[in-house]
Amino acid sequence: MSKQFEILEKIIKTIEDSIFKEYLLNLRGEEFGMNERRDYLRNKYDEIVDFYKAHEKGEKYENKNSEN
Amino acid sequence: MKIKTVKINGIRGFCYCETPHIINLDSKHFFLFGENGTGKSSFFDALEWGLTGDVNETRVRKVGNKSEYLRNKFCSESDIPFVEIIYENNREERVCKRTLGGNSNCEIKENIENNFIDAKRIEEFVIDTKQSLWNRFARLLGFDSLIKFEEQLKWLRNKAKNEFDNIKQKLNLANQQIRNLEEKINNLNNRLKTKLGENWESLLENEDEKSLLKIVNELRDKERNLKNYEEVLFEKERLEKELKDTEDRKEQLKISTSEIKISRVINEALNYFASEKNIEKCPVCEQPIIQEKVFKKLQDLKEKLDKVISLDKQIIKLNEQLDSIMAKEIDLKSKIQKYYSKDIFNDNDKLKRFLKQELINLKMKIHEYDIKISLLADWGKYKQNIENLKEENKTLKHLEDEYHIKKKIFEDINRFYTLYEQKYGRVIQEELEEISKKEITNIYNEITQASDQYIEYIVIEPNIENHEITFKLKIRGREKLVDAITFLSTGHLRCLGFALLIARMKLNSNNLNFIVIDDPIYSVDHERRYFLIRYLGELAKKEYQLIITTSDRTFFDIIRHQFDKNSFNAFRTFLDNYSVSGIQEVILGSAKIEYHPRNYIEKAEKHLKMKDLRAAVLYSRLALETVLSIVAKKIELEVPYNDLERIGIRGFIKASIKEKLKEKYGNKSNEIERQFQILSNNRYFGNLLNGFKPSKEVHFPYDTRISYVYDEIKDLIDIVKDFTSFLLNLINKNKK
Repeated sequence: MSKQFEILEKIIKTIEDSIFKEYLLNLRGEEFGMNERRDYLRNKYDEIVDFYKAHEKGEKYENKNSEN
Repeated sequence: MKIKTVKINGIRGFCYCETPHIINLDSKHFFLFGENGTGKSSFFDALEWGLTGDVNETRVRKVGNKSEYLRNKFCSESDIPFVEIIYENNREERVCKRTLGGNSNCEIKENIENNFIDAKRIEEFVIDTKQSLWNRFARLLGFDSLIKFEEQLKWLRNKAKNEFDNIKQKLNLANQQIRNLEEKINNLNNRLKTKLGENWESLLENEDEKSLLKIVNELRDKERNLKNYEEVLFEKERLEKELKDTEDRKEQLKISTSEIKISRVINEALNYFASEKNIEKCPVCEQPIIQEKVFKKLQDLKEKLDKVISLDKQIIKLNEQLDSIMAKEIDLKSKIQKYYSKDIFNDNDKLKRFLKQELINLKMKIHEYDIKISLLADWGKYKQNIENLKEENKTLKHLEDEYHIKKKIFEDINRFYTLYEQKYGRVIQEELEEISKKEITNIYNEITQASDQYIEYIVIEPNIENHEITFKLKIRGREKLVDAITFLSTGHLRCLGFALLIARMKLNSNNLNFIVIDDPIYSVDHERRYFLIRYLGELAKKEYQLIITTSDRTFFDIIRHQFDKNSFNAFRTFLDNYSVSGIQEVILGSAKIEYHPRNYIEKAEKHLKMKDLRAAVLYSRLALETVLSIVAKKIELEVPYNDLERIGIRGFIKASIKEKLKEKYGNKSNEIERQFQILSNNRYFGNLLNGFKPSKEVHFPYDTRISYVYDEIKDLIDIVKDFTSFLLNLINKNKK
């Protein structure tokens, strides 16, 4: 893992808990999209809505876009 | 990681040969001297491209095609230029071969490009806009990805805000819609209640709108027929009256039919009497007549006749109209007879009265039905609005759920973004503080020897909000920090740039312990070059392999002087017809020298002749250092350093070299004392021996740079010459 990734992960982990933080930590495998285009996270908005809805219902979130 | 061998073929100044140019570094330091255009930078570029896959110089020169830049201009089309680097990594030998226009088997090392330092990079790193500096530091410290992440987060937050605002707006609209529907339902309810009472719904339930519409249409039909019939009757009466009047008018004219028949003759007679004069007899019976009387009578007759003819025409027309209206009357009568008994048609006056009354009744009936239909329509609207309200309430519920989620998402992201900004700012500040306090200040002070002088420390001030960076300096005696870019001289700025790049390189923890430096000394004076090399010596002690190219002979000499001769390979580049092709190409030849103070004294004298006073002083210093190190070895001086040759003049003095000499060569102690005294009495050597003290002569209050004049340097060389001869004689004689 790069130094940047480690710093970013450390920052994210120290930020107070929230559903969004939980969602973001789900993107760890994609290195939080930090090296992607700046609309990367913006395009995740619909996915975030689904994540929140699943969270509200107490269900496990399943990514529809995931290859699995 | 240390570099063992570099093989170059057909890159930049290196021609393409059957056997590539092989430069053996043997994991040692590598110093390369050569005049301009002899291939130093070709070596630097080849090494940089080989290890990083990129060449910074192509960006500097704005060369779009890297291959075009790298390919030796004498390469044939079939030649495949390459660079092959054999290096040691964790005691394993590895090979990185990069072929121009082809593949490479090189393992990508993160930030390896930071280990390449050249004059352009140094300049770029220091003299730039505050925002560009921020970007450079962002890359240096690895927070460029944090910036990207921050940007992404900002976009996401804006998206979340827009989505939240949209749903808020939709929710407001839906609420407004519901209020409107409720108001409509309420109004309809009130209206129906007013018209039909509390039980309006059950009343309307029995009504059938279709039947009502059928009835009202039939009534309207009937009404229309009655109205038309009434109008026909009136018209018929009017026409009959007009016909009678016309006939009466004709009767009143009292003209017989025979008179009408002779109307043509009357016309002719009238024309005759009008055209002829003095007619005294009747042209028919020849009886005497009075022309005027006859003419008058004829005129009256003519007038009456015209009227009769016109009335006749009118009577014909009226009769035609009467026929037409009577046909209509018959048609309408047949329609009306469906509703009423035939009796009503017997009396015309009664019929008219009946029609009038019946039309009033019909109008009222139609109105009643219209109201019923309208109420039924209202009820329909009422029911539709109730349905719409149900749907709107469903939509509202859905929107409220969405609103709740989107509000939470926006608030969460917004809070996260604010906290991220704070924490990320703090991380950057900490990182900058670490790099500025720990590394840059130390390196800068080492190179400029400013630690005891006027610059106490260097601060890198980030402006997180505006993404800007400013270099600030703490000057001794001044509380306020000053801006480095405006305060420092060009040379000092280069030293700062060099310090920054070295600090960046040191921040990498990828085991990349080699540094390639291409001519770093432009605008740096001899004194600073000396300390720069001293600092590089410190890096070498920390296991860094130094690969340095220079076009400055003095710098090359100082480098070689500063390092143990077994620790490096020194080469010089020159152009020659090495191969049979007749093309001049870069050749690297070994350039090792024997350390001897006399070599340095000769060089000092040569530079004095050329009026290069600073170089002359520097070579004198190297001569003194060399002789002291030779003496120290001979008398086995105990010094606190491992590398005896590199401890510097003050190091020898501190290790009591003078006292040890006196002890060893007691009979010569007075002469030894005298020679050291002569040395101390000299302004330059005195400073080297005893340390530089602040002087009013210099331009900065705490600067050590002192100006020397020609005669002073000449004396200085003579002193070091005598001192060297004396000491070498002393130790060599006693050996004998």
